[in-house]
Amino acid sequence: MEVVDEEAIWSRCRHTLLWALPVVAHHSFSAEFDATKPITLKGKLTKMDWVNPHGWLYIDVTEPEGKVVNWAIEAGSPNALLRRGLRQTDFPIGSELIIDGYRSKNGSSTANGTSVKFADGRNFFLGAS
Amino acid sequence: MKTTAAVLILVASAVRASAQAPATATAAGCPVEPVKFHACAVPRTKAFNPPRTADGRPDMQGYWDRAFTSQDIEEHTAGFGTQAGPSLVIDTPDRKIPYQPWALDLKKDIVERFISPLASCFPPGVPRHVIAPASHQIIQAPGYVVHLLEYSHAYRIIPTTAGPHVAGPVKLWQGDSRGHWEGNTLVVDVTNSNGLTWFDNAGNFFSDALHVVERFTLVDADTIHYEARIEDPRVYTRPWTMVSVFTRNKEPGFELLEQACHEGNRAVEGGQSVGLTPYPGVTNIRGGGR
Repeated sequence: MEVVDEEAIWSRCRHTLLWALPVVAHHSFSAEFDATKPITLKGKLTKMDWVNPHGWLYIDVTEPEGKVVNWAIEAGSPNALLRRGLRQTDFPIGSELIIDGYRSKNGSSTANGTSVKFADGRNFFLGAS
Repeated sequence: MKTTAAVLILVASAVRASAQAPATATAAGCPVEPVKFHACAVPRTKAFNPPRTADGRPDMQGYWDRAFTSQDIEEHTAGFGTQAGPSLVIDTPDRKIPYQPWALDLKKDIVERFISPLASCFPPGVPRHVIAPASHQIIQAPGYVVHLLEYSHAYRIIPTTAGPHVAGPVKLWQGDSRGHWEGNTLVVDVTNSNGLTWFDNAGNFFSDALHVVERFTLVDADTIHYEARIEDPRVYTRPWTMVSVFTRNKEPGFELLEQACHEGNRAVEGGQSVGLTPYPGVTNIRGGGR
């Protein structure tokens, strides 16, 4: 099997993904989520709903004052995640995740995810739109 | 750090399955930008002798990717949840949809008032079916062309031995499609839309008086020129035409997957949580009921 340099791969992928966004636009992104409120969430996975038309990740995020808030993050469709190389088994409960996204306009602890980074360094486009 | 080429293939194929073409992309040797593609591809369709089905029709069967997503069929810059894209409208002076003044007013804030119909997992309607999310498959049988969409298991069954449309009062999410072949072009006449779908997530809309005439033509074995002439005298000042591009998905082993759209759909409650309501169609918005 051919061996290639991973850095080169990710360099190319990052470049490609820049024009590949967004992916499967099931609903109007801007109607529900706030482009002016990007957010990075770090926490432990409490649930992963591998469901159509969008998967959902739930993570417990500890706020600076110590309060733990469970966030719901919208992801891409299971088929989109699957074709990106992700599987439901990639999301065991308790996984430490770092998720980038945008907050909901309704002020709840809900976000539209754009990327997920695993503890082992893998980083995937979440493709929620 | 080293890894295998398989990773690259997997990621690259995922990008292929999902991406909208960049402005510089080409298909069949033509730029995919709609006006340029139309000018370049139409002459090529006349010179191309396509592969044939057993009954002698141009063979369009297989898996296809859309060159453009249905975020906004008018020209738009990259923004939140959208990437830049050209207008698919090819024959109006400003390449915008020729809305009547009241319709242009409605369009201005339609996405701030109503839930995108696709978010409710409704069928996309026509012509959005052609630029709708996810992968596409075309299957042909004598007298029929079937256009499957992975999204929400939407489909169109287009009879090509065209009988008359269904009766006028019958209103359908996907409309009533009647096809015929004009040389190597599949021409599909679509009426009986219920007017409850949009062209895109930007809220570009029509009424239930919509009449679409589509033309599907192979430019080469791996490229389809798609044209839709749109008429709706209740909404537009004149008929107009949009053009898009299908490119063949050649990924080995590719297949459409199950997509049970209602399974965990929260986009409707998400929209309602910020004050949006289900889209009732322009007749109801303007008063008078359906």
